[in-house]
Amino acid sequence: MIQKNTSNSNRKHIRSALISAILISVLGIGFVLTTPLGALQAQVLESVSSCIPERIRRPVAHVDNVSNYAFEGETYYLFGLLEEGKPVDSPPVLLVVKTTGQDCQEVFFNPGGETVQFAQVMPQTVARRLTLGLYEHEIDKIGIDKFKADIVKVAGSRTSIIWFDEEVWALRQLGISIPNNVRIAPVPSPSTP
Amino acid sequence: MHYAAWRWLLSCLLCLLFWLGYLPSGQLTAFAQSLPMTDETSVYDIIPDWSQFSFDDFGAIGTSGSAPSLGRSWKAGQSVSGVLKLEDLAGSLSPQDFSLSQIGQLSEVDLTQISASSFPLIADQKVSTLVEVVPRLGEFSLNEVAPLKTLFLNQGLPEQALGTPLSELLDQFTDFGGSSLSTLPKDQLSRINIAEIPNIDIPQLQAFEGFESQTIAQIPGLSQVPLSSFPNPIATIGSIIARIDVVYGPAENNRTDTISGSDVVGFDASCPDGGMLTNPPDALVTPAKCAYIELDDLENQGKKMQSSFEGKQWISGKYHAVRGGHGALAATPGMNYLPGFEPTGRHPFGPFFKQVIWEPDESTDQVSSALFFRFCDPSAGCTPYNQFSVPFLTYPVNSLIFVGALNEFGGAAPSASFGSGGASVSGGSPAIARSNPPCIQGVGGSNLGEAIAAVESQGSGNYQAIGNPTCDGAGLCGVAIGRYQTMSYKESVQAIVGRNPGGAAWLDSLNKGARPTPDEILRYYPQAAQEEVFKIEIADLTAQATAQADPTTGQPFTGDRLIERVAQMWYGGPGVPVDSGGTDNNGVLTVYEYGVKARQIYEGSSKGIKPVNCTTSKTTAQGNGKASGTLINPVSGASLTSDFGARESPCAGCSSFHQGIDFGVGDGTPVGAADGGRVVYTGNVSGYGNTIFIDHGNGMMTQYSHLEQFNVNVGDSVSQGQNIALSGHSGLGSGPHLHFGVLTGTVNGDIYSGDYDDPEKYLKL
Repeated sequence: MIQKNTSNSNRKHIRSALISAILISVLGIGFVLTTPLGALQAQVLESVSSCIPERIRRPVAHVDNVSNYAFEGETYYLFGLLEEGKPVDSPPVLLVVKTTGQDCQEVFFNPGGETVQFAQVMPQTVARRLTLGLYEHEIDKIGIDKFKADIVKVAGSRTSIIWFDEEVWALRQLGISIPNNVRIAPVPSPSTP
Repeated sequence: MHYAAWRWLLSCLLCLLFWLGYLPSGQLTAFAQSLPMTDETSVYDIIPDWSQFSFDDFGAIGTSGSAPSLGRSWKAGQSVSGVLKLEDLAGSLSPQDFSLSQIGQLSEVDLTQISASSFPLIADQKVSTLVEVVPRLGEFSLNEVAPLKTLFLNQGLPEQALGTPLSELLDQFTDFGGSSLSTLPKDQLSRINIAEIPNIDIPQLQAFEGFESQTIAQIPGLSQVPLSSFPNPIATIGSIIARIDVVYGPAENNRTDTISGSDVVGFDASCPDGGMLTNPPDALVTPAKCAYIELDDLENQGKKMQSSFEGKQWISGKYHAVRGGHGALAATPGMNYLPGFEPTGRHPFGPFFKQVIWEPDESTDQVSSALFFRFCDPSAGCTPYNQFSVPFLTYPVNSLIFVGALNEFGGAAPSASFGSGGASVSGGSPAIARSNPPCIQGVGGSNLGEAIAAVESQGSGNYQAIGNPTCDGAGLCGVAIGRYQTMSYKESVQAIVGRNPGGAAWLDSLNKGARPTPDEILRYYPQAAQEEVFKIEIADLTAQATAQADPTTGQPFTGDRLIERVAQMWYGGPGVPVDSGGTDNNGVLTVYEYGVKARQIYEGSSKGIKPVNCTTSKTTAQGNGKASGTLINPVSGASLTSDFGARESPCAGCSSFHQGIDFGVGDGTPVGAADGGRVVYTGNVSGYGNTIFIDHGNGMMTQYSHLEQFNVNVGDSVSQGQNIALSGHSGLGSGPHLHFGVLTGTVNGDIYSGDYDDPEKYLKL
């Protein structure tokens, strides 16, 4: 993240806003305020929040917890970040943070929109699950019919199109057929010699 | 050596069984014999004449294969043009920039003879697309466009509409706009000549929908176009010819002084540590190590500059693999290489293919070579050069071989990135007109002569100087001779030297590879003759340069820039791209640097006529901070591997938006400032890694990300093209590359102000 001098009060303000946004998004206000579990979750999210950037180019106005997945003792959180001034329906900047106990670590943050698979920086199982969660989240917003129509439109824009393994897997879990012209990009294997 | 040779011969009995079917040496020989060459009887036999070489001249693919993730497959014996698609070449030869008219001129294909059935790109276009991209087609009525009239009537639509202009017609018959000629019955389609569609030959291929998925063979005539005539042609400027000194079989090991590698790991990959052995010691097949050829400098009398590849090793890609590929396709498997790996090699003729030393044979003192190809996708990057290969040339020991400049591109001369021949940059660039006072016109021949002589002979002033053998882009070969290092094949040299008895025969021998002696130069090409030739050439180049537009101003070359340009043309030939980063035969000076150096010496010797207030757009050591308003490629010669814009993912609402463009360059590649300006940020940016922002002072800012090393600090003024960093793979990404962003509407150097825009609007690639 680009660091820029901000006053302490501003930082606290932004941090508080971020935490609130996450809490609202994940748990709901009442749940957080009234249950011991809510307090526990708040502690976890407190540690996650330190891994969430306060600004991309402009200050982050909205943080959406899109999907979570626990895998081998670590929990992966997928967030969608929206900058100030961006329309609500703009594609979010995706951020994946993982927690181990109270510690958090940024795993994937793609403000430049690079063509990078989740599986390049996290286990394939996690990559697939987070992608599935991302699509379910989108379907909740726009409906399955619009989601399917968009797929047909994008796939039809080219005679051949390349999607990631995690994307195709997620679509199959949703019962969505894969257009014939879709090709699957090789899964990166950091362990390849 | 003898031990190594015998050991290799024994092991090769087994090894041969494995490889014979893959790349038979017989194919290599056959291909080499059919390859158009510059001169059949000279030592330049090994240099392909790209002006006579087209896709049709490539040998057949040796082995069947497939790339399921890309939906590609091919069979042994298939032509290269039947496999490679336009998208594979978009970052190298740029065939998408051709119009059909240009292809017709270069291939002598008669458009009137091409039926729609044999041109699927046109047959598959929607009528509405044709009307949109073909100039003025919308003004024609169906009665004037027979193919569309046939399609219209075939759909049972009313004849009364045949006189209506197409643009109006589409509003009335929307279904017709969505239809294409390919829906016609085959017999009708085969009777339609595409030339009957007015102006169909004008748009570039990239204007048509689906152009990227067309193979070369599917575009009539394209496979016949010489590779030197493509929009981004195979370039030989800056190519270095080396002599093959020794060939070593695969018993050798631990070679570290190499000039082979990839555009990911660089072109000095040691063997085996810089990659991996294809048959390592624990392999089931016969283990093999680092076969290679050892190179030697050519003689370089009369010049202080020396080439630097004495003893360099070009490792065999048959035995040594290195990391390759860019973007999501980098992990694509191919041929006999692991995913993400390709044979080690070089790009002496550009990024279109990779030349690989294949089998150095100690028993015959010969080495075979092969060309390896890759696939690319505009949104997913490029595979390694591991997809398929064709046999290339076989070289005997002591023969010459093009190795290209010793640069980060593996020998490729940075291409005509900003328009060739001095053409002005197009594409919506907000060129800022310079407001400097008028500069002097014309070029002082004697002063420029002193300047060029000083650069060429490094101050020796030697009329007997002998340079390197070199070939130009048109396949003419010869040797640089005399004080001004004039090429022996130049017409003016031929005319003047030819006046002396024996002169013509002497030049002929030079152009076939003979080395001149200093005495011969004085005898056949004396001082007076050299000066006469120089005057003729400079006058000619000055006339040509003054007729060109300076891409940094959009105006004709004048003053300092005219001097620089004339010197550049002297150095790289009249067609050399303006301010090219291509290097000379020694890899010491780029074309741009040569011009600057000649101009600086010229200024020092011009005394009273020194230009005043002329534009000096670029200097070297210290930046001038001046923005020209036109951006240049920060890594000239590198191929574009990812475009600006939203990725075509299954989920439009959650798709990432690429905020810049990516260049496929390996770690450690020098990055230049796209324009002059002030450095306003150096540091780590989450996701982007090490990043530099430069404010150009005109509301525009440029961003360079995933860097390995910063060479500037915040507050520094930089000139256009000045080295600011080394590329790397820091931050989130899919391997080494340069992410280049353009911000417009920025204010006061605030990196948070403004918005990202498509860099390709501001620079021509």
